[in-house]
Amino acid sequence: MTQTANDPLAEKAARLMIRCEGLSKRYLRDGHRPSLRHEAIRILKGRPSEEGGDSAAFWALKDVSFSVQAGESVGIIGRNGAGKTTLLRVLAGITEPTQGEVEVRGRFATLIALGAGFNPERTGRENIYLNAAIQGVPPREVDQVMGDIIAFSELGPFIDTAVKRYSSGMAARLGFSIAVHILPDVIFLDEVLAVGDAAFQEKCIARMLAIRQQHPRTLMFVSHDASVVQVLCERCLWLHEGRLIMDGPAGEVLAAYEESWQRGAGGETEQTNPP
Amino acid sequence: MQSRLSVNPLMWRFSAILAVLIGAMLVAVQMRLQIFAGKPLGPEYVALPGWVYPIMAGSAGAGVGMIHLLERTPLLALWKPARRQFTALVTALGLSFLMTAFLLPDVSLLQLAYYVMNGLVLGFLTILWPAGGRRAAHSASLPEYLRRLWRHRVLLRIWVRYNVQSRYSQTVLGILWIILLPLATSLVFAFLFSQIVRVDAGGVPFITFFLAALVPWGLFSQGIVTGTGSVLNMMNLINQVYFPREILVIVKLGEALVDLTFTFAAMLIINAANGIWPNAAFIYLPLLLVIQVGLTLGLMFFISYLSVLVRDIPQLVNVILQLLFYLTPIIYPLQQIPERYRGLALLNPLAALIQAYRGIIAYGQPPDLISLHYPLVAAAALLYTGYMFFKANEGQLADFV
Repeated sequence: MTQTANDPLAEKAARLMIRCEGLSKRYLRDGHRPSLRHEAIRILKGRPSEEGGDSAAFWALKDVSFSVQAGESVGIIGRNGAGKTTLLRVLAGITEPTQGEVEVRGRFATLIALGAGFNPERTGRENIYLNAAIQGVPPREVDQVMGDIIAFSELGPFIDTAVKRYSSGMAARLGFSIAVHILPDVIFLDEVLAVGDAAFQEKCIARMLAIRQQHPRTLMFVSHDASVVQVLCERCLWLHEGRLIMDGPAGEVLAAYEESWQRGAGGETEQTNPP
Repeated sequence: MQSRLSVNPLMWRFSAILAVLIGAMLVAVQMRLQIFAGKPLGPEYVALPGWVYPIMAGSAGAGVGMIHLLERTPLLALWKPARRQFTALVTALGLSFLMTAFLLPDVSLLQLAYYVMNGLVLGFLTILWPAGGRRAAHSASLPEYLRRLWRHRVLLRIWVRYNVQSRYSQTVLGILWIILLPLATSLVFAFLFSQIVRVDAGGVPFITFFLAALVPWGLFSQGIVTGTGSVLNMMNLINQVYFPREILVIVKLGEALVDLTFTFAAMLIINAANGIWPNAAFIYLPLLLVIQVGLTLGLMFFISYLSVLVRDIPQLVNVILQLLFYLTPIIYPLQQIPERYRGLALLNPLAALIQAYRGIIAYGQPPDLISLHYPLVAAAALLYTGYMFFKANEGQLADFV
């Protein structure tokens, strides 16, 4: 499923949705970039920039290359700090890679935090338009799915209430509902399913599976929860300390990942998946 | 891979420098005509013949074309990345000096000041210009940027409407607040300058004279002040979704424009009460507005980004705005500045612009179009360099939290 080498090249190129080549992302540990003064001195001395010498820098991603075809659903797993979210943020264009190339085709929706961009003073309905517009969807397209969005979010009578009066769960439901109904070609999903209660989580997963059956949609999904990855994704990327160490069918990668936990991570406190 | 990737930012840097150079040439022509001195054109001035302008524009275009060609040759590989910015700076400064020297046979103090300013702008651009821009998906060119902005125009509209509505729906006086502040200021100033300090308002009530300058100034100052926080206050959103970030800045300008319509209407009413009615010269107002919007937006792009980088910028901007208010002929006419310094005062593109606004609104004089040449060039150069600067750095915004 991941290896589409026997496809004709032209067809492969046409269906390519995400392409990453030699992707690296470097952060400075103190969260600050060198000052203007240092930059000027560096330029005057003609010292080679950035690459060497910066002891405060660390690589959140290092030389990650992969490509995703239309309709594929890819999970990204790894320990805390492995670069999963950074990868998603780079793919979604939120931040720029330090090196390498990223290409994402078609319209994409990003769910890194649900309800990002809600204006708390406005009503839920107005925020649906606003949130869709942030993702690049015009109001007339929103109008077609407005009923579905409201129904799915279970907000019914509260949809014309200001969002500042919503509980965090309500806001999250609205955010998720918008994202899955504006039907992007690519969905980037961070660990956001955890916010709802169990029933809503199940509903979300069912909805994701349903929209993937209607139309080939590409999904990139970050999770700690192997069982959800197992259900949603047929392919899996395993990141470790910024490097892509395994890329293959979800079952195999998850098995190898679990095994590495059993072997090396005895003392860590992080909660993994239930058996 | 590396060499191919490093071409794009280099190209922007070149094109931005070219924009500044074109601006420099036009300003130099302006100075050669001595229009900056605030005098009307007389018979003693020898203007450059009209055909010089197409040649200048053509050569600038050829320059851009050559850089595009140069990109495909191995010549660029000879540029060591680390020295690139510095070399570009020196080259640009040299070129700009040569061109300006060609256009200005006599070097005066004012021209020296202009060189220094030009050098500062170029140095600023080349040092701060980033090494980024390596994303193929968000590949970088002005048409591509504008196309993406156009696709998000709905967001712009919704955002401006919601922001304006929530600003005024929750206060008791609502929209009156926009009008109250300029009204109160102008009443105080009107009392001060008509009763205590005498300012020659040129035959119209002082309040008309003053409001004609204060209302357009309000657009500028509100744009700049809200521009400092436009990106900084939205870092949360920037960290979570992608959208063309310049929308945040343009939204603030949009809000300022909405406010302007209200203050403008209030000004018309006050003028009418004083017996001064809208006149035929009002048809020039859209032109002035376009120039002013370009100028304001260009500055806002710089300021909004730099405010994220250096958190002192908002304070600094406030101080500078205060000073600029008194240095721009708003509470006094341009003619009251001694002739020696009038040229310096007109280096501020806002001065000519405000003067033109006042001529139209208070005196019904159509603006001297040649004196608007300099603000127009300054606005175009600022808007272009500001936008390219903002877009080139936009990808790093999320890392500054």
